Amino acid sequence: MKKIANLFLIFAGLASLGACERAVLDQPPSSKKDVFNFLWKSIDERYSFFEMKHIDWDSVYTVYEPKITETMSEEAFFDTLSLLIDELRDGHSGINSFNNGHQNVCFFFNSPENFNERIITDFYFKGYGNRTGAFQHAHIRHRNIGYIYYGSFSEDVTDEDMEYILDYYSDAMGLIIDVRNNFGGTVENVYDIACHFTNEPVTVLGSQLKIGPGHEDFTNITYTTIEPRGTFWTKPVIVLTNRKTYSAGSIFSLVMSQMPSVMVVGDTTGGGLGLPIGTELPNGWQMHCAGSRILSPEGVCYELGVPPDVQQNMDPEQGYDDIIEKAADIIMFGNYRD
Amino acid sequence: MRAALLPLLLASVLSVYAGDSIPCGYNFLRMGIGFTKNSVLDQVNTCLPYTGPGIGISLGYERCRKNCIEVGNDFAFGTLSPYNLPEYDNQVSFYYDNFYAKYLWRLPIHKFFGLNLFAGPEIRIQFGMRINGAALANSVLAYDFATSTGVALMLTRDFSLHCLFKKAGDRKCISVSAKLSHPLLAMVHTPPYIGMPENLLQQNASLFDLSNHYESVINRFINPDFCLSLSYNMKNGNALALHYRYSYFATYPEYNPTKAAYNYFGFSLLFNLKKPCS
Repeated sequence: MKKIANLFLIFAGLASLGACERAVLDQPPSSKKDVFNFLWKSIDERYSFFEMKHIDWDSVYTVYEPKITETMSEEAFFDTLSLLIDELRDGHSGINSFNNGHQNVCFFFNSPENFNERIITDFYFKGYGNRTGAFQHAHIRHRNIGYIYYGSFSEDVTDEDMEYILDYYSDAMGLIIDVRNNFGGTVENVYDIACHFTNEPVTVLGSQLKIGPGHEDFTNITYTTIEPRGTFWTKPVIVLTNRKTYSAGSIFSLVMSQMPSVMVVGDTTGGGLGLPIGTELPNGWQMHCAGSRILSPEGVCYELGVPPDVQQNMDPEQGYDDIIEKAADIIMFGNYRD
Repeated sequence: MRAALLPLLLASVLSVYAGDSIPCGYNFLRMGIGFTKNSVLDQVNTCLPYTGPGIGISLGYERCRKNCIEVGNDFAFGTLSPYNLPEYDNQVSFYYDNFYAKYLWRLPIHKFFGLNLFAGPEIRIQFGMRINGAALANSVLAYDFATSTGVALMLTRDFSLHCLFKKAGDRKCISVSAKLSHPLLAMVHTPPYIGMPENLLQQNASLFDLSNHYESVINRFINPDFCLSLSYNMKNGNALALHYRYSYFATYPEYNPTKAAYNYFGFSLLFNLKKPCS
């Protein structure tokens, strides 16, 4: 009987050894003050544009910290944290609670829309046009120009789709690639398009990541070079942008502007050249903010927007798209139509 | 807590039966499956502890005569959820692999409670990966990859069921072994500060960045690994075994330290590759 008791003791010991994992399961403190301080510190140590945007994050703390009380409602707490994040003036920053989400979209506030989907449908596609993968496209200007609309870099671009598109418009004088109102997505899709517009490697951007808690703790610049792939398109290409061209959309504008025979027309993009990183808060909510910065090959950071080669706004009352028309004129005539 | 439990557990093993122990040796191919219970505290893109169940697969080769050789691989996968925060329904998929090879010499203190004691060096390669299911922008991957060399100890004891049940035969068909190891030197790869690799914006980039690593001499990589086995040796030389493994894993890079605990409880078939001894 004593031996059985000893065996039982062994397995009791084994079972209790599982309790050792409590060393891992320490919960971080999660009072509202703790959550606020965690959020403020996470942004302080990880956000990448304090210096560029001249944000005094310490003074932001002194403004918002007194507003946090343990008795405030969850909704009021969420709203206060949202306002704190809005101080970054960055579309890649936001916060999510279990039932609510807040995203800062200040990058297109008070700017002309410069895009009307209905005009494109009625006047250029005359319906929905053609659809190839992620692209909506049609001939315009009496089949002299191929117009391609790409609405989200979250929709994957395949080599087969690109080869088909380039072949379909091979008899056109040029291409218009419209990424207005494109809020971004996967950067790989930028390269999958751009690699067809060069026949030699092109350095298209540089990037730096945060490597420490200091506001300017960044890696050295890592340059990205695009290798040509598949069919090489040699004719003129115009990329259309507006303020709602954001994140991967802005990267596309930056990358394509490094390519030969490519020009950008429209409005300055919304920027968003810091890839977002996220983290949890001790109460289970989630926040995200930019944790890197993307530069032009010359070292310029266009976080606030990539400017076009040709600025053109759109008057929606005219019933046609001024930006598409200007791009088409540049391709066909090489100058502006007044 | 763990420091208090370990002596208790070992004392329990030692006190089972203080009879003679003359292991005739074995040459086992081990195949096992089991359940895991895992807990992780990452800081790259999470700050809460996660815990959850998983499935483990264990393969190994064990040869023991005068000295012992053991080579094995444990693989586990499963899903983790935030600990003690039910309203937060985030899910983290985890994958864990642990390869080890050890050579153990029998220590000359044979009569220490009638046990056989072995000690020797161990090489261990471990890889843990957590994929965060939350919409946490781009930093959804946490991982650690450690290559280490350290020391391993093993205590074994063979006994018969006769010591428990008087009517049972006196063939020594039960073996109990306890193994403990810890790395001394280690190379540990962890995610960069913000969880993104420097080459993220290259064509065909990978989320892994093996250039981000550090070296540890005992103190910056804590990884005690404890395994207790209870096996029943059949007359044909093969064996059935129950295993419990507890592995604590703590990395201390400059930023974002990680703590993890892996519990594995499994059942194994051991195929004897040599003629059974009498």
